[in-house]
Amino acid sequence: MSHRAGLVLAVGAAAFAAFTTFVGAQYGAPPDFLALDLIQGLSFVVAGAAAVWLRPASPAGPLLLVGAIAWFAGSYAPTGEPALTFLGFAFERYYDVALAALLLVLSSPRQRFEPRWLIALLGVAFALRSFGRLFIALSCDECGFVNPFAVWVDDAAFTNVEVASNVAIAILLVVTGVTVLLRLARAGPVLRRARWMIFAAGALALTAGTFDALEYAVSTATGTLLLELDEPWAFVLEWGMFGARALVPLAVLLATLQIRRAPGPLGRLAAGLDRPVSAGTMSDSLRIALGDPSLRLLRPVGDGTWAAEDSTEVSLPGAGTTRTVTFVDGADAPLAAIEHDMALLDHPELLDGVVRVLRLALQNERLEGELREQLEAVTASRARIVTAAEEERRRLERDLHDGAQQRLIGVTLAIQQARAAAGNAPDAAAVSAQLDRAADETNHAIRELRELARGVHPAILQEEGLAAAVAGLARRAAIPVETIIELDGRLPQLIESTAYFLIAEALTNTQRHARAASGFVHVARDGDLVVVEIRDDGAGGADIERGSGLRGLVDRVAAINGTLVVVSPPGGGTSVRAEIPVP
Amino acid sequence: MNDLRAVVADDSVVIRQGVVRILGDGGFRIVGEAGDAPELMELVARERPHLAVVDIRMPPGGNAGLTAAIAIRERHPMVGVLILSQYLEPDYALRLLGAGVDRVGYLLKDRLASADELLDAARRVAAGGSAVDPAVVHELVRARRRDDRIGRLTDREREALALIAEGRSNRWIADRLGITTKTLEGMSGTIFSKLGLEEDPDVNRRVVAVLLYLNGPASG
Repeated sequence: MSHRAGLVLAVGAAAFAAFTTFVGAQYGAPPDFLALDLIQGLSFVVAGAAAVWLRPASPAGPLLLVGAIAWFAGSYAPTGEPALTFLGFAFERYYDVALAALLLVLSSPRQRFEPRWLIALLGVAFALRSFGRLFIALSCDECGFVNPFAVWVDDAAFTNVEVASNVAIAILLVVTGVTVLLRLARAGPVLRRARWMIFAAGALALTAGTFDALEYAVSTATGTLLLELDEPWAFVLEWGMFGARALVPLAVLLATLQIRRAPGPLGRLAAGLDRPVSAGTMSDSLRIALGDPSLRLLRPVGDGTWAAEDSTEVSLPGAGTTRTVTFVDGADAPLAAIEHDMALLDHPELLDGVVRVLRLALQNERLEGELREQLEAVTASRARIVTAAEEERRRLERDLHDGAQQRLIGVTLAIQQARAAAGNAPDAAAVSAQLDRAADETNHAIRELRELARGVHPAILQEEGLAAAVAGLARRAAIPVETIIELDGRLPQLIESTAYFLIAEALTNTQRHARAASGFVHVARDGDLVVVEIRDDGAGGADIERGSGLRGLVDRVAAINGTLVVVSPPGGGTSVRAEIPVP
Repeated sequence: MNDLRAVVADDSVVIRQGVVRILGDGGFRIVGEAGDAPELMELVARERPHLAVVDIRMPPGGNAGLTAAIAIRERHPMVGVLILSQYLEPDYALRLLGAGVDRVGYLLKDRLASADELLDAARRVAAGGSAVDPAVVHELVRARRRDDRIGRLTDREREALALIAEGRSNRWIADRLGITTKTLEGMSGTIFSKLGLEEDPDVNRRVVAVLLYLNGPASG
């Protein structure tokens, strides 16, 4: 019901209350009756208005407002004015129909008027009673009043209609109560917890309604009351009966306001989801936030299918169950679905808040996943690039060795042959001198190529491993370099060559810049790591940010997931330490 | 004259032919050529030559020549092996010497530019001596130049030490240094005592002792 329609209905009910109270006062109804009647009736108006305002989707508000009008429709009885008295008598307690309908609606999973036949029959039974009370008069004289609306005067007919309609009302109210109880037994804990006050008050109201109807039936049939009480108990009983009905709107009001102040769980949910959590944790947080232990968080698997947190495929609950699904929509497709008790639909704000928090968490999770994937892709491509570069170096060294170097040696052999042949020539000495120079140049080129090939990728590293290659580095260094290589066997090629070039570059730096007297190289295995450390006793002050050589080393080590730390205090020597994971 | 039989193994035909020619001109009788390690092993087993000149890097891959050379030293101790290498790596020379101190040589291919140097090394190895490339020895000596014990040697003693490490005979070294063999023997005793090494009359064992010393951890 829209706010506007609800407001009109509430104002109408209030106006009707004012009218009946005014009329009652005019025709001499006792003030205490009017006051109690007004207070109790107004509780329907207030609760109905609040429910319509705060929970426009719920039928509770309109039903309570209809109940309010029904309440005041029966408020004429004690005025002493025959027309008003008989109207009031005929149309009293229709609020029991509204209350029965309310309880049926609130206990139904989808908040529908069901079963309709029960509400309809109840309406018919009340209508029958109204009909009898309005149009069939008793013949008795001592009754005091003459019914101005009476069409027939027939004691038996009046009694039959009164007893039949009241028994029907009593039975239908009991059926209503049993229906509600059965539904509660089947419903989830969410529904029971959220509405227990309403159902407790409803039980009292239905009991009171049944008692009233039975009382009418028995007293009409036998002339004696079901429960004979002295004052003040008769007064207490009568108002207790009314009060029992008035408790229902009160309970609705409390339940409505209680849901209203329930943002607490949301805060806790948000606090729990501000970092990546497992699917199980996320579901648990949702269960706590929404108070539904049966809740399940479903993820889209593609093609419109869904999976529970244990990755089993599930189908969404269909119609006719007490379960429903709330989707957490993403930019173009649902991010997730919450399968939950239908009663949670009563708490749209809570559900909406949870969905918003969950959307944030899921989007966050997805973004982090994408980021991680990209990072993995970049890391993998960097590793591929490094591997390719390493392969390229090895190929280059092979090409130099088998190609250029080999050919130049061939050239020296040819020169030598030419020299032998020139031995007989007239200008042998001059030719021989030329050939000697050519041989020298060629040998020089061979030596240069040998150094170049070793710099590109030393064959001894590939053939003999890190220890032999590093020993060569130390041997050729301009300063004494102590090497301690503590390795059992070989390491993966990429790690060996990374460590080798790290040591080579660091030793070069040491000799070029550090003005060091000696160096120290230590390579050791530490669990799944290879630790490579190069130290010198030089000037220190090396800075990764300023030396492209160091920067290159950091990148090279990082490319195989290692870390490189340079400690180089001015005057305190330089230590380059790399930790490289061995797969 | 052609009483020294040799085989040559190198996957480069140009180099193999060059070596064959030099050795042939130098008086060796070439009894076979091989392009890879298995072929070489077969050839050596069949011919039992005085000398096998072997390229360090050959098919089937890696330093198959070195591996084959070490195998030849073990299976056929009377066959001299001269490794030709493009690597200035003392480790390889030491590895080869570790398989048998005599009848081995490690020569850089640069030496092919001089027929005499190749022939000289080949003859020494074939005759039961040893030959280590001067560049390899030089690198070892250079690496040890700060060693106090090496520092105690005179320039001439250091020169003699290098020549000893190359596997030269006493006579050759004495000629080179322009001294008598007797003087060299005295100098050699001084060198060994300064280095704290035990003097060994066997030339080849002396080579290994010196090389191992040079390659060993720095002392002093």
